[in-house]
Amino acid sequence: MNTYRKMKHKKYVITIIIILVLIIVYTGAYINALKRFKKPVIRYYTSDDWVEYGGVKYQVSAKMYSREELINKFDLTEYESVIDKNKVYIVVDKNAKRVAESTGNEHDELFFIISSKYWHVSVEPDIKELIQKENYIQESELQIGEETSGYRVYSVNKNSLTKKLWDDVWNTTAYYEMEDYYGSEYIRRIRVLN
Amino acid sequence: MKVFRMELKRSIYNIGMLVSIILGLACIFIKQYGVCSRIIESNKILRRIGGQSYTGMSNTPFITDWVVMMIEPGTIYLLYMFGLIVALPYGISYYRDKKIGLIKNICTRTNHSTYLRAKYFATFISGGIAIIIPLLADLLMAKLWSPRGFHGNYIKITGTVLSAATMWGKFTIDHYYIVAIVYILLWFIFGGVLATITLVVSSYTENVFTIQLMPFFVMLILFYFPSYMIDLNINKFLPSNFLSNREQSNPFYGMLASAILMVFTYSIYMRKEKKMDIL
Repeated sequence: MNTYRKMKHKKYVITIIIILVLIIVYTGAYINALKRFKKPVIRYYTSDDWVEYGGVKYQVSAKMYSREELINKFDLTEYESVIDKNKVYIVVDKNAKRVAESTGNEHDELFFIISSKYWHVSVEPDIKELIQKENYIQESELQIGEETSGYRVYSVNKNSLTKKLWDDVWNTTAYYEMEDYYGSEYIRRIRVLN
Repeated sequence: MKVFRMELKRSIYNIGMLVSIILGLACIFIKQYGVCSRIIESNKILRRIGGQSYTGMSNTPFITDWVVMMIEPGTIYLLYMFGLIVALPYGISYYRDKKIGLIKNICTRTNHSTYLRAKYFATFISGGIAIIIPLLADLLMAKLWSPRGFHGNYIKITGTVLSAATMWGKFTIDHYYIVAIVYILLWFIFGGVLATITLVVSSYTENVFTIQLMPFFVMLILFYFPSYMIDLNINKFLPSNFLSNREQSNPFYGMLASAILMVFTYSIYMRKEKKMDIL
């Protein structure tokens, strides 16, 4: 009986040690993850603000269009068949001017997206090419003092939202997010819709 | 109550439970290994072209990296092994008790119905525990991928599997901790109910492999069934849909399916076995 009690006691001790080791290892891994992944610094701006990143200042505004409004506004009648009727389109008008030399390849690492709480947003590069301004230059090619202005086009699909959220899509607040693609240490949010 | 405590202890402290847990954790390991090796390969290419490597960690909510949300090879293996994992701990216990005569021993000291009920619920609980342990392990690992889950006053869902296409999807975005608890509960209940299929089978056959593997084959049929019956609107009641959070999924269909299956297995098992002459 004594031997049985000793065995049972040993089993409990081994089980507790294993559980403690797992807890310690997990806690260590979690603390390591928190240290390696810093909490991003978020700053909010409006469409009137000039926001600087990587030597370039940006001023961003946006407007939402239905399919028909987009076709009429940008004269896309001959491309009607490729413009989805189940989407709303957000055309972002981005002004940029270089104020300092770039320190590296920041523009390759910067991620621009329209975001709002429930939206899955798609980028529309084809529509962007169709409506792009004639004198647009890529921000990475700007010289100091040089300015440019261009469009970016995003869309929100009706099928990715409930009926209530879709009915409310024109009143939804949206931000133009500029986020470091690899680090996500800095997030700049420019309120562009509502 | 004493019988139930005894059955529960037997169902949890056995080699079958250990094998189940190891099998479940192996599936989770395959999933995490796949994720890590993809990041390592991507970083090798990025370094070669002069880009900056990335850690794979993100600001998206942790549940998007969880096995319930993410379709990865490890997820598929876990869903395929689901039936085996829940049946291994206590699936053949009733057949074994009958074969070695333990049932006679127990039923001289307690009511036969009490013993059957205790056996049923012990099998249910052991099956549920066996399947939620790998689920919880993956949840903890998913938290490591997104240690700071959200920023600002809302989470970013673009680039995740989350979708507000349904009311449940919207609720997932708003309250993802509650959704995680709901899915853990669902996997526990469905896993437990699936394990009780072994009791029904052991009432009709004495083949150990048939008893132990029946939940595995039931899951296989339920996975391949939808591809032959796509016109019927019953997909939402099938485990491939309600066990993972797809765009049109809703776990409450899973709860309903589990409740129906539980009534089915309990009534057949109790009715068949109560009539049996054991002494």
